[in-house]
Amino acid sequence: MHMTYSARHADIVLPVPSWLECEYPDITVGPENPFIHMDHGVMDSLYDTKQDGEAIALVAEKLDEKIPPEERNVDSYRAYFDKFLDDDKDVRDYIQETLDAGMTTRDIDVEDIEDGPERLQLKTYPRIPFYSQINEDRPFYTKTGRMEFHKEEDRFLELGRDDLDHIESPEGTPYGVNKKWDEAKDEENPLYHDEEYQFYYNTPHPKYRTHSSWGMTDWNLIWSSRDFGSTNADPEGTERLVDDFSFPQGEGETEEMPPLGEAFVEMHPEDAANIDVENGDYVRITGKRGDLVVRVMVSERQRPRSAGDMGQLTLWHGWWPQQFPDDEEQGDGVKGYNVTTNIWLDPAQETDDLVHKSVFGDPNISEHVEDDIVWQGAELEHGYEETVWAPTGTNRDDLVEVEKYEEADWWPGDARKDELVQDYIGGSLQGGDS
Amino acid sequence: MPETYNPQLGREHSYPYEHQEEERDWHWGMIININRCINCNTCSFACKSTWTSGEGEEYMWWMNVETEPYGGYPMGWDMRLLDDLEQDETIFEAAEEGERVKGYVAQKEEWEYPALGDDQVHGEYPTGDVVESDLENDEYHDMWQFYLPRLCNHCKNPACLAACPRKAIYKREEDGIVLLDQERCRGYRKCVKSCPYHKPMYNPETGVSEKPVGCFPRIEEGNVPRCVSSCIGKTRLHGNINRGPDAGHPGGNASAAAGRSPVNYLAKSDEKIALPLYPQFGTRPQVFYMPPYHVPPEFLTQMFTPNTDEKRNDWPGDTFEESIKIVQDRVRNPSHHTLGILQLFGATTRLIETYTVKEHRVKGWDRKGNKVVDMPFEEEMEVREGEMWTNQP
Ligand code: SF4
Ligand code: SF4
Repeated sequence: MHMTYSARHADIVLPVPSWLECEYPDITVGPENPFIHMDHGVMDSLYDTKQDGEAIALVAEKLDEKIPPEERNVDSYRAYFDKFLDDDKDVRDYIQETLDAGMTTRDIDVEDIEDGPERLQLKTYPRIPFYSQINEDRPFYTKTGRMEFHKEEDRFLELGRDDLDHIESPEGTPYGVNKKWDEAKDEENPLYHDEEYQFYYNTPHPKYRTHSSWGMTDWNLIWSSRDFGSTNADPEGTERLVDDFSFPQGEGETEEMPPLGEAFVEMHPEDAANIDVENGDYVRITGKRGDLVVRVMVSERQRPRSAGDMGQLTLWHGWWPQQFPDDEEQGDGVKGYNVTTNIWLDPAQETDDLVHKSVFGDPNISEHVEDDIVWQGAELEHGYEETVWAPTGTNRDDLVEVEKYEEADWWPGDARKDELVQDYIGGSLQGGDS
Repeated sequence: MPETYNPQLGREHSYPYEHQEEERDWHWGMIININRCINCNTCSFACKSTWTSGEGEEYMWWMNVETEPYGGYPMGWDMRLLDDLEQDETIFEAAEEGERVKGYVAQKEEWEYPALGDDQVHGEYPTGDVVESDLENDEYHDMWQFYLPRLCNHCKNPACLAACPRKAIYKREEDGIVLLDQERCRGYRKCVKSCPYHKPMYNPETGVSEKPVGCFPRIEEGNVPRCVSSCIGKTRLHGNINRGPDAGHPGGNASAAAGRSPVNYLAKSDEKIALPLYPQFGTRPQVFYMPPYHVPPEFLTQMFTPNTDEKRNDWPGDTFEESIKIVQDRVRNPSHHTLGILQLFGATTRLIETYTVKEHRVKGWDRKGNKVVDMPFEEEMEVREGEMWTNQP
C-alpha cells in the first residue's frame, strides 16, 4: 500500500480493504472473457477499513443527518444503501438487482455465481465479435450501418484521412512524422540524425503489473524488476520488505520507497558496451521533451544499432516515480520517469461528428429487450467517448539519445559471464573438462 | 550401499536405502508442456501465496519459472552440478567420502535473483535473413529461449531423503509425496545441499529447513496442486504416474475407464512424449516435460536425457539425441490420442485417474470412478436464437 497521486491530491481519503479482506461479496466481468465472477474475501481486515458499499452508506447516513428533509430531493439517502448497514438485510440483493437489469446477466441467479463463475448470456459462445452483423444481417455501429473503410465526415476529409491507411508514428520514426507512408518514406524526421547514440524508445505494457497497479506489491516487484528484483542485494530491500510490506505491524505506516526492486531499460549488450555500460549501470535517456535516469539491463532481444539504422530500447510501462533515481546533475528539480515525451492526441479523434456505439448498450437489440433492462432504448451516439478515444499510453514511442550516467553501486549476477555458460548452451558441460 | 534399478537410466546404481517397495499403486506425478508456457508465473505466485508467505520465507520460491538458458534460481544451479559430474555418474555415485550425495550449497548471492534472466533470449541478433526452424533439415532459429517451470519432483530416489542424518524426510506410503518433518529437523541443511534441484530451503527465522509439499492436502481431497489449477497456459496435467495399462477400473466403478492414467501414457507409453529433467542426476524425478520443439537438440539432450554415449533405457531412437528429436517431433505433430490427452490439461481442478480418447470427445474419471471431464476436441459453438441477444454489451 502506498500514497498514489490520486490519494495525495484528494481532500478526503477513505480507507477500504483489498479484495482479500472483503466482508461481503462483489462481482466482476471483463471484456476479454465471457464469464461473470463473484469474489469473496478470505481474511480479516489488516487495518481499520470499510468496504466501499459500507463507506457510501455511511456517507449517505450523514447526509440524512446534515441536510434538512425539505432541502433533499429524496426521503432518505440512507435508504438507498441500507442493506450495507442493517445486519438483517442482504447485500447480495443489490447484486441480484444488477443482474436482473443487465442484457447479458438477466437470467443469472446470484446464488449460481457463489459456486463459481457463470457464462454471460451472449449471442454466441465462444464469443465472436460482430456475429449478428455477419450472420444475421444486423447493421454495424456506423452511420451507414456498413463497415466503413472510407469516412466522409468533414474532419476526416480535412485531414486527408478519409481512407484507411498506415500513418507513420508522430515521433518515433526516422521518416516523415505523422504522414501516410507514401509521403513519409521520402522525408526525414527532423529529430533523426543517426550520428550519435540514437535509439527508438518504446514503452510496451508490462507483464507483472497492470499498468502501474501492483507496481508496489512486493512479489510483483521482485519479478517485474527482473535482474534488479533482488530480495537481498539491495541492502535496504529485505528490511523494507519485512517492515513495511509483507508483515506490516498494524500501524498503517508505509514508506515512500518501494520494498525492493528498480526500474530498468533493456539495451542490447553490444550497444551498452559501446558506451562503457555494464548490466546494472545507470544511463540518461533524453528525448525531445524529457529525460530520465534509469538502470540498464542488457538484453539480446533488443535490436542493436549494428542491425541497421537505429537500435531499440525498451522500458516496460507503468513504473512509479519512486522507482527511478533523481537526476542529480540536472538542477531543474524535474524528475523524469517512464517516458520522454507526452501522450499524443490524434486530431482525427477531436470530432463531434463520428457515429459510434457507446461502451454499454447495443442499439441493435435495444428495442427487442424488456423495459426493465437498463440499456433498453440505447441508441448510437456522436462524438467523444473516453474509453474509445481518450489518449492512452502507447503512442509515446520516441527517438532518444543515451549516455552513461553513473556506475552502479551493485551489479546483479549474470549467467552470460559464467565460465561454464558456453559449454552449457552447447550441451557439452557434463563430463567435460571445463 | 544397496543398489537400485533406475529405469530412466536403464541401469543399476547405488542409493543409500533399500527400496521398501518398488512401486506404489498411486504416485504423485506431473506433465508440463513447455511449449505452452508463457512465463506468467501465476503458478509461482499461487505456490508462494499458499505455502511460503511467512517470515524467513521471503526468498523461497518452491515453484519458479526460469528462462533458459540464462535464468536459474538459485543462479546457475544446473551448470554447477553438471560440471561436477562425470558422464554416466549419478550424484549418489559421485558422493565424496563421508557423504551420501554429491551436491553443493548455493550461496546467499545465488539466491538473490528469482527473476534473473527472465524473458531473455540467447543468440546473435540476425543481420541478414531470419532463419526459420526447419527440423527436417536440422535448422534452428538463430535465437532461442524457452521457459522451464521448476518444482520439487517428488523423486523416487529422493536425494534430500538420502542425505538427511535425522531421517526427518520421508516418502509417503500412499502417494509418494516427499515430506520434511519440521519437528525432527535440526537444520543441518544436508537436504539443501544434496537436492540437485535445490528445492529444500533453510528458514533462518525458525532454524529448520522446509521443502515443497506437493500440495498434499489438495491431493488428499482429489484436487490437483495449486500450480496446476492456476496455470493459465493449460500447461500442466497432474495425476497418478504409476497407473499402468493393467490397472482396473478406478474405485471398482465399471462405468469408468480402466487402464493407464493420462500422465502415465505421456511419460511411459510407447508414444512417450514427456521426459524427466536431468535424469542423469539419478533421483528419478516424477515431473516430466514435453520439450520445446524449436530448441537445438544438443541442449535438450543434456537437460532431458541421461546424456550418455551409450543409450541403455527404453526410450525411442539409438542415441539420446535421436530420442530428443523423435520426442520433439511427437510434440510438434501429436497423434490423435496424444492430442486428446492434451485437451485434459487444465480442463478440471480434479485429479484425473483414467480417461478415454474417442474420435471427437475426451473423458476423464477420478479415483472413485466419478466422471470429472467430458469434453469435445473442438468446443461446439452455441448461438442464441432471437434478436435480443448481443456479443457487444
Ligand atoms: S526434487 Fe529435491 S527435494 Fe524434491 S524429492 Fe527430489 S531430491 Fe527431494
Ligand atoms: S502458470 Fe502455467 S503458463 Fe504461467 S508460468 Fe506457470 S506453467 Fe507457465
